[in-house]
Amino acid sequence: MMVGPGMPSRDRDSLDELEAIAALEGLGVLTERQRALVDEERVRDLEHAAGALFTALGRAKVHEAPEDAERRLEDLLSIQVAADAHEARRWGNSHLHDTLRDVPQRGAVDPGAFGDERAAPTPAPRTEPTPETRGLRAAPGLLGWVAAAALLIATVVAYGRVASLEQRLGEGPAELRLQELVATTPDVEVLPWATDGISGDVTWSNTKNAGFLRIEGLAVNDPEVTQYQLWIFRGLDPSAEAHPVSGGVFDVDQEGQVIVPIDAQLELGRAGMFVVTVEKPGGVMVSEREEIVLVASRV
Amino acid sequence: MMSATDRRTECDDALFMNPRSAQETSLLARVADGDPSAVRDVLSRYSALVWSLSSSLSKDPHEVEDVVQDIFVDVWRSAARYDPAVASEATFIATIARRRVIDRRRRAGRRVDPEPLEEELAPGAEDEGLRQVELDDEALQAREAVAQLSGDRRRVLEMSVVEGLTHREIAADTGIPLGTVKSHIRRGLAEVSEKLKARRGVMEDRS
Repeated sequence: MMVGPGMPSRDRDSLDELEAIAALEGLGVLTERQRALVDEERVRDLEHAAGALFTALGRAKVHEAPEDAERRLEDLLSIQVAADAHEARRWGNSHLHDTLRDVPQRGAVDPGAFGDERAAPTPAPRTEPTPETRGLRAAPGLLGWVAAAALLIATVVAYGRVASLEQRLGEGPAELRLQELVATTPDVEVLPWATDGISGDVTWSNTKNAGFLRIEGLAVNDPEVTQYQLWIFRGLDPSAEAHPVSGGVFDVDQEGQVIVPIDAQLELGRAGMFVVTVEKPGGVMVSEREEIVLVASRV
Repeated sequence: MMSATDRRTECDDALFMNPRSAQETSLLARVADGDPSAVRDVLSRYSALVWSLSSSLSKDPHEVEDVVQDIFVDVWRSAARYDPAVASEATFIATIARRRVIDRRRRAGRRVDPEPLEEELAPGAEDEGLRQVELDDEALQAREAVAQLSGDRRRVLEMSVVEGLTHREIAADTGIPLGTVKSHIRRGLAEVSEKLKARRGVMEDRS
């Protein structure tokens, strides 16, 4: 492709097309060669035109944020500011800001758009939140968490880059993570165990498809012999569901309370009942349900 | 036909005529500087905009809240590269919002519930029914620019920019040849961009 004031109109069109694609999908969708051709200032102008159009045409009826959501958002950003300040002190300011323009959007690029210049788009690394950490919500009263968050960040960050605050917060001890889930998730539910001699509960969020077990009173197991396995039923009648979703295997290795993160293998939509069985080490795909030790349900 | 700009009151003009006022510029600069007090000010000014742009994503308020959070975290991370000489803060934030909303929509395999664009652009449309988000100067300019495009180009541009459909999806939906779809997008976007740049030049001359 010839580039410059005297370039043929066909080449000019191809370059325009590349720049439009980069504006709409991110520079990251272009190959290095394509990226060297485009005028990044023009891409930026087109990108902003798209942003203005999105506001103008995006069916932008007024939707005020619910008050509690606004508070969660404010607290989340306060944590972000604290984390950034911590990072700045530790590493200096230059690394702190991601550039969205380098991030391609998912599934949007039409390879045919590049004409003779086409090449497989090179995906740039994303900092998408994981299912576990997606939608981290800070809550009223959580500001005391800021210091803990900053401390946690200090221990986890290997390189000076605030790539995923959410992910780092999600890597804390189970108890902290449980507190975070309870404090920050609007639809979180707490279902007590309906089993004599066992105290504790299941904390679960349908929207996050995540939760925790708190168990006290369950016998310590020998993981060489048996392990506990959690099963999650969508409804309230276990006999009607031959294949509940496994919530992962776990051990009770101490007396007193244990907190176990639920590792749901599939999206549940809505969970109705949680059942813990005793299984062989490593767990099973389908439980015979011979030894049910814990049950918690919505009713 | 009275333009959107003409409909503004003098009071509005005071707000709109210089979209890069010192006050407005200082907000994202304060974010970039890590000023904790900027959190409330940014939310106070832009929360309704971001919430409204995100609300087309889903009827599930939790999902909308998730994407709103993603957008504002991105705003915080990207604030240092905001340049008041090339866009208003609202446009900068809407650019981030567009990326996030469309990416989420694509991952969920969802389409926007189609409404005829002509209804949105018809004279007086914004005065009927639900209140529209208060558009900043650049969004109003973009709206006027897109209204001047041909019907096909306008529709194709909206399907690409707002709904996030791929070239091939647009071609399949509309029956317009793929090459023409690409042409509509690049030319339509360029026309809107040129209008915004021209407007920016006028504003700078006045100031």
